[in-house]
Amino acid sequence: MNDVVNWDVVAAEIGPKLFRYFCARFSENDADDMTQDTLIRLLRKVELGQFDPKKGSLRMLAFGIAHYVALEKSKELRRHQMQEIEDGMLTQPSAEQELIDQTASQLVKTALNHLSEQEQHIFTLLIDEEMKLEEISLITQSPLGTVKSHIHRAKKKLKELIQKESTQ
Amino acid sequence: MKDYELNELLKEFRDKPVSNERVAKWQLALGKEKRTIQISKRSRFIPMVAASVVGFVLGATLFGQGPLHNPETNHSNNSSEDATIEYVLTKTD
Repeated sequence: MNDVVNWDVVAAEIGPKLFRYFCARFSENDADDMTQDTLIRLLRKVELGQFDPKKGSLRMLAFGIAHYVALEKSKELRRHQMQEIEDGMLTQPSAEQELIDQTASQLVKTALNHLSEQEQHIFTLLIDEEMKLEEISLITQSPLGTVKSHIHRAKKKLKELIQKESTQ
Repeated sequence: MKDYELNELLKEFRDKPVSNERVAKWQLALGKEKRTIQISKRSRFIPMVAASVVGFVLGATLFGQGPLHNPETNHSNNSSEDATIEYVLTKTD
Protein backbone atom coordinates (compact mmCIF):
# COMPACT_ATOMS: atom_id res chain seq x y z
CA MET A 1 0.00 0.00 0.00
CA ASN A 2 2.76 2.48 0.96
CA ASP A 3 4.37 2.07 -2.49
CA VAL A 4 1.14 3.07 -4.17
CA VAL A 5 0.28 6.21 -2.19
CA ASN A 6 1.19 9.49 -3.84
CA TRP A 7 1.50 11.82 -0.89
CA ASP A 8 1.47 14.97 -3.02
CA VAL A 9 -1.98 13.95 -4.26
CA VAL A 10 -3.10 13.09 -0.72
CA ALA A 11 -2.01 16.53 0.50
CA ALA A 12 -3.83 18.22 -2.40
CA GLU A 13 -7.08 16.24 -2.03
CA ILE A 14 -7.45 15.42 1.64
CA GLY A 15 -5.48 18.39 3.02
CA PRO A 16 -8.11 21.04 2.14
CA LYS A 17 -10.92 18.88 3.56
CA LEU A 18 -9.03 18.53 6.85
CA PHE A 19 -8.23 22.24 6.88
CA ARG A 20 -11.90 23.21 6.51
CA TYR A 21 -12.83 20.67 9.21
CA PHE A 22 -10.38 22.27 11.64
CA CYS A 23 -11.25 25.85 10.61
CA ALA A 24 -14.80 25.30 11.86
CA ARG A 25 -13.49 25.02 15.41
CA PHE A 26 -10.07 26.63 15.58
CA SER A 27 -8.15 29.60 14.19
CA GLU A 28 -6.70 29.42 10.68
CA ASN A 29 -3.14 29.15 11.97
CA ASP A 30 -4.06 26.34 14.33
CA ALA A 31 -6.07 24.64 11.56
CA ASP A 32 -3.01 24.77 9.27
CA ASP A 33 -0.73 23.21 11.90
CA MET A 34 -3.31 20.60 12.79
CA THR A 35 -3.84 19.67 9.14
CA GLN A 36 -0.10 19.18 8.71
CA ASP A 37 0.09 17.17 11.93
CA THR A 38 -2.80 14.95 10.81
CA LEU A 39 -1.28 14.34 7.36
CA ILE A 40 2.07 13.41 8.92
CA ARG A 41 0.43 11.00 11.36
CA LEU A 42 -1.48 9.52 8.41
CA LEU A 43 1.74 9.05 6.44
CA ARG A 44 3.41 7.34 9.40
CA LYS A 45 0.53 4.89 9.78
CA VAL A 46 0.58 3.98 6.11
CA GLU A 47 4.38 3.82 5.72
CA LEU A 48 4.70 1.65 8.83
CA GLY A 49 2.09 -0.77 7.50
CA GLN A 50 -0.68 0.15 9.96
CA PHE A 51 -3.30 0.98 7.34
CA ASP A 52 -5.69 -1.72 6.15
CA PRO A 53 -7.65 -0.56 3.09
CA LYS A 54 -10.26 -3.26 3.79
CA LYS A 55 -11.27 -1.40 6.96
CA GLY A 56 -11.89 1.94 5.24
CA SER A 57 -10.52 4.59 2.91
CA LEU A 58 -7.48 6.78 3.47
CA ARG A 59 -9.83 9.77 3.80
CA MET A 60 -11.73 8.05 6.61
CA LEU A 61 -8.51 7.24 8.44
CA ALA A 62 -7.41 10.86 8.02
CA PHE A 63 -10.58 12.14 9.67
CA GLY A 64 -10.28 9.55 12.43
CA ILE A 65 -6.81 10.91 13.20
CA ALA A 66 -8.10 14.49 12.85
CA HIS A 67 -10.60 13.85 15.64
CA TYR A 68 -7.79 12.99 18.08
CA VAL A 69 -5.69 15.93 16.93
CA ALA A 70 -8.70 18.22 17.56
CA LEU A 71 -9.27 16.64 20.99
CA GLU A 72 -5.66 17.28 21.97
CA LYS A 73 -5.89 20.87 20.79
CA SER A 74 -9.20 21.46 22.60
CA LYS A 75 -7.71 20.18 25.85
CA GLU A 76 -4.67 22.41 25.41
CA LEU A 77 -6.82 25.49 24.72
CA ARG A 78 -9.11 24.72 27.64
CA ARG A 79 -6.09 24.35 29.93
CA HIS A 80 -4.81 27.77 28.87
CA GLN A 81 -8.23 29.32 29.28
CA MET A 82 -8.72 27.81 32.76
CA GLN A 83 -5.28 29.02 33.73
CA GLU A 84 -6.15 32.54 32.62
CA ILE A 85 -9.46 32.41 34.47
CA GLU A 86 -7.69 31.19 37.62
CA ASP A 87 -5.13 33.96 37.26
CA GLY A 88 -8.03 36.41 37.12
CA MET A 89 -7.04 37.56 33.66
CA LEU A 90 -10.45 36.80 32.23
CA THR A 91 -13.87 35.66 33.31
CA GLN A 92 -15.53 32.69 31.68
CA PRO A 93 -17.99 34.13 29.13
CA SER A 94 -21.46 32.74 28.65
CA ALA A 95 -22.48 31.31 25.30
CA GLU A 96 -24.69 34.34 24.62
CA GLN A 97 -21.95 36.85 25.46
CA GLU A 98 -19.60 35.12 23.07
CA LEU A 99 -22.04 35.34 20.20
CA ILE A 100 -22.39 39.13 20.32
CA ASP A 101 -20.95 41.06 17.35
CA GLN A 102 -19.75 38.15 15.29
CA THR A 103 -19.97 37.33 11.58
CA ALA A 104 -22.08 34.39 10.42
CA SER A 105 -19.24 31.86 10.32
CA GLN A 106 -17.84 33.17 13.61
CA LEU A 107 -21.31 32.73 15.09
CA VAL A 108 -21.46 29.12 13.97
CA LYS A 109 -17.91 28.56 15.16
CA THR A 110 -18.56 29.99 18.61
CA ALA A 111 -21.84 28.12 18.89
CA LEU A 112 -20.07 24.89 17.89
CA ASN A 113 -17.72 25.26 20.84
CA HIS A 114 -20.72 24.91 23.13
CA LEU A 115 -21.58 21.47 21.80
CA SER A 116 -20.05 18.31 23.23
CA GLU A 117 -16.79 17.08 21.66
CA GLN A 118 -18.57 14.23 19.91
CA GLU A 119 -21.30 16.53 18.56
CA GLN A 120 -18.67 18.97 17.29
CA HIS A 121 -16.69 16.19 15.66
CA ILE A 122 -19.69 14.63 13.93
CA PHE A 123 -21.13 17.96 12.83
CA THR A 124 -17.90 19.31 11.40
CA LEU A 125 -17.29 16.06 9.49
CA LEU A 126 -20.30 17.12 7.42
CA ILE A 127 -18.31 20.07 6.08
CA ASP A 128 -16.91 17.57 3.60
CA GLU A 129 -19.86 17.27 1.24
CA GLU A 130 -18.72 13.86 0.07
CA MET A 131 -18.92 12.48 3.61
CA LYS A 132 -21.71 9.93 4.09
CA LEU A 133 -23.44 9.19 7.38
CA GLU A 134 -22.25 5.58 7.18
CA GLU A 135 -18.66 6.81 6.90
CA ILE A 136 -19.15 9.14 9.87
CA SER A 137 -20.49 6.17 11.80
CA LEU A 138 -17.30 4.20 11.01
CA ILE A 139 -14.93 7.10 11.70
CA THR A 140 -16.52 7.95 15.05
CA GLN A 141 -17.24 4.29 15.87
CA SER A 142 -20.79 5.23 16.76
CA PRO A 143 -23.97 3.54 15.55
CA LEU A 144 -25.70 5.24 12.64
CA GLY A 145 -28.70 6.15 14.83
CA THR A 146 -26.41 7.91 17.31
CA VAL A 147 -24.76 9.86 14.50
CA LYS A 148 -28.14 11.01 13.21
CA SER A 149 -29.33 12.08 16.65
CA HIS A 150 -26.07 13.95 17.31
CA ILE A 151 -26.52 15.83 14.04
CA HIS A 152 -30.14 16.63 14.83
CA ARG A 153 -29.27 17.85 18.34
CA ALA A 154 -26.31 19.87 17.10
CA LYS A 155 -28.41 21.60 14.43
CA LYS A 156 -31.12 22.42 16.98
CA LYS A 157 -28.65 23.82 19.53
CA LEU A 158 -26.80 25.87 16.93
CA LYS A 159 -30.00 27.36 15.55
CA GLU A 160 -31.20 28.26 19.06
CA LEU A 161 -27.93 29.94 19.99
CA ILE A 162 -27.68 31.86 16.72
CA GLN A 163 -31.35 32.88 16.79
CA LYS A 164 -30.97 34.17 20.33
CA GLU A 165 -28.13 36.40 19.18
CA SER A 166 -29.99 37.73 16.17
CA THR A 167 -33.04 38.69 18.28
CA GLN A 168 -30.94 40.68 20.77
CA MET B 1 -26.57 15.17 2.14
CA LYS B 2 -29.40 17.43 0.98
CA ASP B 3 -30.35 19.45 4.01
CA TYR B 4 -31.05 23.15 3.54
CA GLU B 5 -30.49 24.06 7.19
CA LEU B 6 -27.26 22.09 7.32
CA ASN B 7 -26.02 23.74 4.13
CA GLU B 8 -26.78 27.18 5.52
CA LEU B 9 -24.91 26.44 8.73
CA LEU B 10 -21.89 24.95 7.02
CA LYS B 11 -21.79 27.01 3.80
CA GLU B 12 -19.01 29.37 4.79
CA PHE B 13 -16.79 26.56 5.98
CA ARG B 14 -17.41 24.55 2.81
CA ASP B 15 -16.56 27.52 0.61
CA LYS B 16 -13.35 28.37 2.47
CA PRO B 17 -10.54 28.64 -0.08
CA VAL B 18 -7.25 26.81 0.44
CA SER B 19 -4.24 28.39 -1.24
CA ASN B 20 -1.72 26.45 -3.35
CA GLU B 21 1.03 27.72 -1.06
CA ARG B 22 -0.62 26.05 1.89
CA VAL B 23 -0.94 22.76 0.03
CA ALA B 24 2.70 23.02 -1.09
CA LYS B 25 3.75 23.48 2.55
CA TRP B 26 1.95 20.29 3.53
CA GLN B 27 3.48 18.42 0.58
CA LEU B 28 6.97 19.55 1.61
CA ALA B 29 6.40 18.40 5.19
CA LEU B 30 5.13 15.01 4.00
CA GLY B 31 8.14 14.60 1.70
CA LYS B 32 10.54 15.25 4.59
CA GLU B 33 8.69 12.85 6.88
CA LYS B 34 8.71 10.11 4.26
CA ARG B 35 12.48 10.45 3.79
CA THR B 36 13.00 10.30 7.57
CA ILE B 37 10.98 7.10 7.81
CA GLN B 38 12.85 5.50 4.90
CA ILE B 39 16.22 6.31 6.48
CA SER B 40 15.16 4.93 9.85
CA LYS B 41 13.84 1.74 8.18
CA ARG B 42 17.20 1.18 6.47
CA SER B 43 19.26 1.93 9.57
CA ARG B 44 17.23 -0.58 11.57
CA PHE B 45 19.14 -3.32 9.71
CA ILE B 46 22.53 -2.12 10.92
CA PRO B 47 22.24 -3.41 14.52
CA MET B 48 20.83 -6.70 13.18
CA VAL B 49 23.74 -7.18 10.81
CA ALA B 50 26.23 -6.16 13.49
CA ALA B 51 24.69 -8.62 15.97
CA SER B 52 24.83 -11.41 13.35
CA VAL B 53 28.52 -10.75 12.67
CA VAL B 54 29.36 -10.67 16.38
CA GLY B 55 27.37 -13.86 16.92
CA PHE B 56 29.15 -15.57 14.05
CA VAL B 57 32.58 -14.55 15.30
CA LEU B 58 31.75 -15.60 18.88
CA GLY B 59 30.35 -18.90 17.72
CA ALA B 60 33.36 -19.64 15.53
CA THR B 61 35.68 -18.75 18.41
CA LEU B 62 33.86 -20.82 21.04
CA PHE B 63 32.99 -23.87 18.96
CA GLY B 64 36.30 -23.72 17.20
CA GLN B 65 37.94 -24.76 20.49
CA GLY B 66 36.22 -28.19 20.62
CA PRO B 67 38.00 -31.51 21.22
CA LEU B 68 38.46 -32.08 17.49
CA HIS B 69 40.64 -28.99 17.29
CA ASN B 70 42.56 -29.60 20.49
CA PRO B 71 45.96 -30.93 19.49
CA GLU B 72 46.25 -32.85 22.72
CA THR B 73 43.05 -34.84 22.23
CA ASN B 74 42.80 -34.88 18.41
CA HIS B 75 44.35 -38.02 17.26
CA SER B 76 42.88 -38.18 13.77
CA ASN B 77 45.95 -36.59 12.21
CA ASN B 78 48.37 -38.42 14.41
CA SER B 79 50.23 -40.90 12.32
CA SER B 80 52.49 -42.23 15.08
CA GLU B 81 52.30 -45.91 16.01
CA ASP B 82 51.06 -45.11 19.53
CA ALA B 83 48.18 -42.96 18.32
CA THR B 84 45.54 -45.68 18.68
CA ILE B 85 46.66 -46.49 22.23
CA GLU B 86 46.66 -42.79 23.15
CA TYR B 87 43.16 -42.48 21.70
CA VAL B 88 41.87 -45.47 23.70
CA LEU B 89 43.48 -44.18 26.89
CA THR B 90 41.99 -40.71 26.33
CA LYS B 91 38.56 -42.12 25.71
CA THR B 92 38.78 -44.28 28.82
CA ASP B 93 39.70 -41.22 30.88
